[in-house]
Amino acid sequence: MKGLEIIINEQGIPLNETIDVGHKIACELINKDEKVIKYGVIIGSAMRLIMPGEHVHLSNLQSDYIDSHTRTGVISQSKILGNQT
Amino acid sequence: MNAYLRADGRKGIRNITLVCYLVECAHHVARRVVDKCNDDSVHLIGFSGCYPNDYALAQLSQLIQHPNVGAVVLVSLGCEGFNREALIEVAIKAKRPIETIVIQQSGGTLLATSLGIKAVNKVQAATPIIKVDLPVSELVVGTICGGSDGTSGISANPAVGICFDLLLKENATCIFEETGELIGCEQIMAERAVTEVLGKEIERAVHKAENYYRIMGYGSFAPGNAEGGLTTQEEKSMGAYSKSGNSPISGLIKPGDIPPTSGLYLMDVVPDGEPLFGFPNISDNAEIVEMIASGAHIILFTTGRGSVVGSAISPVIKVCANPETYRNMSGDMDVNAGKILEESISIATVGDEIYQQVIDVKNGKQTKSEQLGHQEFILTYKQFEPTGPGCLPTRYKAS
Repeated sequence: MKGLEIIINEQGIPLNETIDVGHKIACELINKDEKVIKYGVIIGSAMRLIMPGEHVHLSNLQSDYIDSHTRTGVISQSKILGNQT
Repeated sequence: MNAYLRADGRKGIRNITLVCYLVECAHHVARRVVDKCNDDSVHLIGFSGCYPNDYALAQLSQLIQHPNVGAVVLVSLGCEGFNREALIEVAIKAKRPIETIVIQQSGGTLLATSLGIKAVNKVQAATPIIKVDLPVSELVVGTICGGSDGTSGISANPAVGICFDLLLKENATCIFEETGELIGCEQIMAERAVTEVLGKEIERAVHKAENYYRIMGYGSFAPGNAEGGLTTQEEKSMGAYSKSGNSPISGLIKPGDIPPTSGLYLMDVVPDGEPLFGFPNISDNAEIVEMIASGAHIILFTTGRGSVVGSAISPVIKVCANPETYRNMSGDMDVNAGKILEESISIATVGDEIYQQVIDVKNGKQTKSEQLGHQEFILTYKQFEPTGPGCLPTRYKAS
């Protein structure tokens, strides 16, 4: 829920947006091009600086292997093509 | 004593009569035959292409002698390229009653349909019913995820992994698949292989998948995956990978290969050679069909976004990862793994529940998709080279 403060690694982090079930937020600051870790493994690279508590998704994380597609666009090479959300 | 002993010695958990069309031109007649039989155990399968394809022949050859299948009716237009004589030989060798309707030799749609219905009755009457016990050690279970979201990898998929470990402890055979959905997991998978050579083969299969999908321009990543919180192929892969549990990987099979021993097998579903026929698996049911062709009696299907599918031939148990989806679509779901997220119920508890569902379905309990009449089936063009000896260390150790 937006405005809620959650505790990660004993630190309070305020949420700036409502996060849907199954979506993910950054536990700590992630620099541009830094590898993003989930399940203890790399799931891609940061496309830009990501703040703690920020929603990590198509606007700031890209695959190191292959493009991700939405119904209206493609996420590739740090560019967002098409009118995706 | 709920299993069916076939004349070739295999044991099935259902007694299905297949009506199989051999080209799209024969699909309508075959569907009419199935509809008019009005019998839930008569299932429709087939191949739409007119050009022959070794892979399609191999898949249908395995499917018509699947242990869940008692008898077969082929429906041919008459001029298609499919080698129906080869299929008939397979059925005879596997001692499955088989009849063939050739529409061009039967006077067209109406007469072929009525001959087809008679043929179904005839092969059903010729199917011996011998009930036996089927111990878990003789059971083959496949798993797939479809409509994954960010909950899949933390609830339903690891719970299926627990169920797989329980089944494997009792010497069952388990299959997980879609190397294209395991991109990024190749090294950790290779470490679980029973031999180093098999580990190398697993890495090679995933790299083949990565290359193939790159040429196609799409990963195995649907828009709904992103709406459900998954961002990259490798994130989806890690979630999918957890379905495989923690047991050693005994072999790498291709669609239609029957696992030579019990154990955990990875199925390589990505065609060999240059991409000739498009995407490896155009929808979830394509992979389900391939696992059934490799002998799967039951399919464990995990979903986050909410799939409704079942399958022809083998029952599909649907495990719902997302509690919101479960509330929305509970009529289609056999197991609510979403309670792991909302009710602090452990993954192990849900793993036990899935295991119990497998046992119940093995013993005859209908799954939700069976009750609802789901019998999806799809088979497309592909090409494969024979499976190499490094992929099946147990077979070569045994011989």
